[in-house]
Amino acid sequence: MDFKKLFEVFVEEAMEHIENLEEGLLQLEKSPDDAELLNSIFRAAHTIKGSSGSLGLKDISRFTHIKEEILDAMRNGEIVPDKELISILLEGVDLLKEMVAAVSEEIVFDFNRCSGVMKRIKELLEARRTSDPAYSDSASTSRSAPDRGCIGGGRMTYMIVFRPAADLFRRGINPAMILEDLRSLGDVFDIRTHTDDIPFLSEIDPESVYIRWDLKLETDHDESAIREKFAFVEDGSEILISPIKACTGEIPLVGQLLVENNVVSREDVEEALKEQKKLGQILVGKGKTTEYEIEKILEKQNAQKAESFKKSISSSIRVDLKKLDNLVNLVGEMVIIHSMFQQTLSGGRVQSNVVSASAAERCDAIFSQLQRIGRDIQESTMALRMLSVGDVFQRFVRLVRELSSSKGKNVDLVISGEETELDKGVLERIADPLVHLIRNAIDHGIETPDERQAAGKSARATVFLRAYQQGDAVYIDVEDDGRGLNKDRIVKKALEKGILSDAAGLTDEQVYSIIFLPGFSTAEKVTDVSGRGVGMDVVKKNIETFNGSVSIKSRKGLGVTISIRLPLTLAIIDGLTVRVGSESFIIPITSVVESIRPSGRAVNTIEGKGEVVDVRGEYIPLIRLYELLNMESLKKIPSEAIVVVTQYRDNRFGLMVDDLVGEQQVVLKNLGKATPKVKNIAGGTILGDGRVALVLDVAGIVEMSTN
Amino acid sequence: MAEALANNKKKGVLAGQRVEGQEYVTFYLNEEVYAFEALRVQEIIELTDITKVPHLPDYLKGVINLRGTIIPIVDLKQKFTMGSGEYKKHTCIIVTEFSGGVMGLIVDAVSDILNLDQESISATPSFGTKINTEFIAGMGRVDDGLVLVLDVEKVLSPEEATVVANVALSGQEDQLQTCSDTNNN
Repeated sequence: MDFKKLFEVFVEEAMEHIENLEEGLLQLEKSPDDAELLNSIFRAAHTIKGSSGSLGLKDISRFTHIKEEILDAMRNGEIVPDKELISILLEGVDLLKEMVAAVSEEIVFDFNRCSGVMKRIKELLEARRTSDPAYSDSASTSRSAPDRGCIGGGRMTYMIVFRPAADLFRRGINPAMILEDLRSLGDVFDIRTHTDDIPFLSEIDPESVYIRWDLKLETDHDESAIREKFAFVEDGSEILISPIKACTGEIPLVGQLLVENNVVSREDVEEALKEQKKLGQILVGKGKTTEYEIEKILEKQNAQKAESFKKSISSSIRVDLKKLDNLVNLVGEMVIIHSMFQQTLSGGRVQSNVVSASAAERCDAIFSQLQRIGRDIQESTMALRMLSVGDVFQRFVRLVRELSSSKGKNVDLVISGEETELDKGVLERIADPLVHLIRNAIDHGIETPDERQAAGKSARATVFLRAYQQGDAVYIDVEDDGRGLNKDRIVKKALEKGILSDAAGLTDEQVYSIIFLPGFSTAEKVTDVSGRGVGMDVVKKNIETFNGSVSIKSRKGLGVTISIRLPLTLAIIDGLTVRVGSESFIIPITSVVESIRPSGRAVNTIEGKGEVVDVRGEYIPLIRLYELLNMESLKKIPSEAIVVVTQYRDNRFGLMVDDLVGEQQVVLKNLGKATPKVKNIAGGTILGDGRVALVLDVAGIVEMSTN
Repeated sequence: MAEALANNKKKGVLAGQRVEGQEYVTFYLNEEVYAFEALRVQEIIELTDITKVPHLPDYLKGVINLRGTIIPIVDLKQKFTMGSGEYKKHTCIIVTEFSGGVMGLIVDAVSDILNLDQESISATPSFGTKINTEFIAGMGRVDDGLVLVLDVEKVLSPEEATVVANVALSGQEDQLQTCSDTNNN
């Protein structure tokens, strides 16, 4: 069996369950009495445990088991979920994510890192149970129950050495069955088969057993239960069963060996371990570094982890079954049409060599059907790439929760439009910029509760995260109800930093856009969240790489809205095909307003250089495309040519072309890795005749012509 | 012809040739014979319609559609300032792979697949500043003359990068011209 495949499936599923787990826990904080919610959280944890166990990922399964324990206690009403419990569970979720990511990256996860969280979970569980007298009864019974060796873990791991008696086969016993039977007690792992007792072939007695095994068994049962399994083979066999590890997983290998060899007692090791600190703490203690430094490094480490996590999940996509069914239906239709077409053609050929008129008519009909299906298939194939933004948005609930508590601000996140769909490619790359924006909103935008109350606002602030579709674009807004941008401070800072040389005559919009410039930050003090002067420019750059744009609105004292505009999909665009000289070019239709043929008097020059064209009373700059692209053109007089009125943001301008060819959907392709990047060209597409046509980059043209 | 060559390439070794050494695809630029490592050659196709891309140096003729993928085309003769005559019947495009991607090279004609061992390739003599030998990896001797073995990476990569940078910076024709001139000197 292909285990790699199995692991891939596991990672994908586990990630989904982990997400549910996280989401559920966050909701649980708001409604701790929701039994159904608790159930679903429990199920998610349980599924992870089950599937990891079945794949032999014992660390994950052991860790989830402990989480499950606490959830179970909540479910049974033994303890009530509170902020502290949920925080520790969320911390556990993070570790779990890393463990799963480690599986997909095929690296080893250091399980010792979990011990802290596991210990705290156990302590908390213990504390809650005992502190609540009503439940202390159930707690003590559960502790004394035979199948719970210790609270939280409940499981022991045994080392079993099994050397079967040589005559086992002759007694009609298959030793493998016994090993199989052990699985009914718990997880069997680390099975080692020793074959060194097998003699030379000439000396082998085929009816004798020569092999022996050692294995580890993780089980809730005690030693006698295990021994029972070996009851039939005890005679003549060598069977050693010894507990090797407490469920806590706190004794690392050295300690274990020391205990096993009776050098020290188990208690001594545990005590020593308690004194062992994290590397960071030791270094701080010795004055080698500061806590701040350590924290920074840890942050970096976390960021790296997050990075590797992202990579591990991006290569596959989950598709709604309905979408897939739809596509399958369409393909089915196409197959039918295919056979219809064949029938019509061969039917025609029987009568004569020439396809008859009626057959030609039928072909026509078939063709138009084929065209429709082709379009539908194209659309539904593109739809496969579309994912709802909800999954990405959900991550920010956690972010806001953590940021607001670390900043001492009360912030609610209000999400809307989760069902809005975006291309997977866009969606993946939008998460990071959104993190920046939300961090900025909470760190800079939102005031402290005191400040808010002084300003007559409610102490609880709100950050809105909205997604909606408008026309051919999807918008994502991040809005806060904080203090708004301080125009004067931005200008002052920009002048100080030399980003701006003259502030006179700047519109509000222009001032706000300064914050997107590299190296600009108004935060007085640098915090760990934001204020290092990177961020907004990165946000803008990131979004522009996939043809998106960012705009910003601010009202003093009322808040800031940052709006991201994203193209619906990256691959297919509606284009207007135009001709310049012998070449065809595609102008994305989204930026085309209209096409006109100007009269001779409508075109005027300004200072003998720039040209403008009169479009119903409005003068807009005229760009001769053949000049811009340095090409030959057939028509050099504007009144003979066509002017395509194009709009980019607030700028309108006319592109002069020889001819309009038509409107069509085109697949946007890049011009090949080895082709140098050209400013006015967004990419290429392949026309019906197999030739390449270039797709114009309207934003690039505007920039070039205005400079 | 192109197909036959491609087939030969796949088969690996032509009959009667020695197995040692490396295979080279040879082609003509004017009357001179040049060679590329055969492993770098993806395929050889007929000259097709090339879509001109604005603002690129002259020797970058534009882009073509290679079975749904768009690749750039370089006129090798223009790149080496050997002039560029008209494209004739045997003019074809050698599709090569290099570290920067896939690129098509216009050559006058593809001639043969050769097996050259390292001993028969000698270093390029220096011609001083008169002739730029930087693209040439070595000179190979064959029965009927001289084969100039080209260094694919050097032919295609670093200069392009600078051209690109300059185009992006200035976007102006004259700058571009000087830049491609210096490349060809």
